[in-house]
Amino acid sequence: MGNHDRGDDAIGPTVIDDLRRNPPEETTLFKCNGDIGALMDIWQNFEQVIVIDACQSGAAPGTLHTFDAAATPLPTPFFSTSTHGLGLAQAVELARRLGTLPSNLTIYAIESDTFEIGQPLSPPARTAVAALANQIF
Amino acid sequence: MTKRVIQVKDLARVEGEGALNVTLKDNQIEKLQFTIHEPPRYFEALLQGRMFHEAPDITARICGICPVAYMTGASLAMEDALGVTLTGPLRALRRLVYCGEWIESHALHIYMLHAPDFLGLQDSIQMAEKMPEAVEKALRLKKLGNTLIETIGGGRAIHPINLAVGGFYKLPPKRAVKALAEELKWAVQASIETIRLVGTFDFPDVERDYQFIAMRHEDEYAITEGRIVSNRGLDIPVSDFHEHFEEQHVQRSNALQSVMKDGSEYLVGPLARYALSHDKLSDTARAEAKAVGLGKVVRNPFQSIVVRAVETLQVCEDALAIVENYVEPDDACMELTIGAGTGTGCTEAPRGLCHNHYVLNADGTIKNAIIIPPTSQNQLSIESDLREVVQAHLSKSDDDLQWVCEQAVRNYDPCISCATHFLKLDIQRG
Repeated sequence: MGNHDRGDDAIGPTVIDDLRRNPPEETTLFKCNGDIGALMDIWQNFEQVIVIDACQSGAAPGTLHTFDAAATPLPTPFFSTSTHGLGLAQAVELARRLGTLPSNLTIYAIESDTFEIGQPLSPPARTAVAALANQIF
Repeated sequence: MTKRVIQVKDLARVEGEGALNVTLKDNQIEKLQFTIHEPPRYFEALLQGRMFHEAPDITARICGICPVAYMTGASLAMEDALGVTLTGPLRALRRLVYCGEWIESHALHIYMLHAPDFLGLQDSIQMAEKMPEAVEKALRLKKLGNTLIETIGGGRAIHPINLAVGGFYKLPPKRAVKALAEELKWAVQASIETIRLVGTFDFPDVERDYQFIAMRHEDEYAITEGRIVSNRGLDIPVSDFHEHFEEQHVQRSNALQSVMKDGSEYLVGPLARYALSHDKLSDTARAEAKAVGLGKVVRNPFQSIVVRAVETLQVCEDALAIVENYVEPDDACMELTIGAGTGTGCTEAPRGLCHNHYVLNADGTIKNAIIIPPTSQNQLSIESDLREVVQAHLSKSDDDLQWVCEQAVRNYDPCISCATHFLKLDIQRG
């Protein structure tokens, strides 16, 4: 999830771009622009889902957080909200209550430095993105 | 002298960042200010020097919820400047994609942002627990709205890529347009159910003597074309907008406020449209509105949720009719001859009247642009509503008063990011 043109909000899309250069087997790669309805639609079709997003919890930029979202609720303050305040955490909790949450849902959230419009990934985010792409596949 | 302070740092379930400051002394409102501190966006300046055909794609970025409103407004203004008018199937396609925007915007607001207020719930997640079928309906309606935009807009609902001055870059496949019919039939029924649900809500007893401003068209519930009318005798072509309205900058807001030339405030949006074009609603929409107790004019801002539901039904029916009668246009886009000119494009965005005025240089570059979004026009009305609401609910606890004030702002489904081309509530009781 994320926006290529807003600093570290490009974390999610950049991981997808990296993976597309050497796509993992039996894996479908998507970019979600923040439309949680679309996200909730997409993940219904898969047994195992991994979502990668930027977050801000106060930890050092580049820190990787891992959540088993099928087991426990996501910490809402971590995740930047999209327009009208419905973001990833809300999507997970809506899906949980509607019975449409994937049985296996892992959220990788990379701590962000800035979401400034027009700025590239910060160096810590760039390092974390490269490491994550290697780690999860 | 008693003093009360209520502070809401961030208004939930609205788009953008705004604030409200209320000072009460001995239970009288001494000061009430609604402020927008979302940073200015400078689109009107960005557009200068760009080619006319870039305006839709640039102005789409004003908003992720209502990009079609700006793209259509820009396109209409350029077409006006260049002496071109869409008719027939091209016009129908333009209305169809705009119907998609109304459906997704209204459904999102009604169910996910506003209904929780009336149900005593904090958010849509609690709604999903207590009323899962309602939330599923909302998501399915929103998805349909997005699908309409994607089908005609080039595969993307947020900032669609296929809307152009003069029409479209590429015609959508006819089978794809026709395939929308089945889901639109479901949506018509779902909209009726939505009206019947929100019509049962308890509404705070507030009535305001609004000056309604909206577009009106003689053949349809106006969205993309019409004249600008009011309930106080105004009836003007869209090109005369700036002779009757003006923008003001006040220190407390990064969004220009709009007033009539006589200084009076006015209201745009669903209540205004409903009042001024009630006779243009479909028979079904009028009947469903009447069945839940709506008169021909609604002056209670808290009932805007019901009016939005009625409008959702209207555009689902309109979209279905367009799809069922769709004939593919001969060409995707009309021929345009570049030249100097001045043009206006005015449409009804989901939140209200959105006016666009452009001046073109002889080489087709934009010399000047003035974009008036609906939420900026509603700022004073929001303040006046809040004044009534605070006055009517002074006996409530601070928490309850805060809640009803936030609810009152959400009546407008404000798009604060649009308004800055939103709620920090600070109530001081003294």
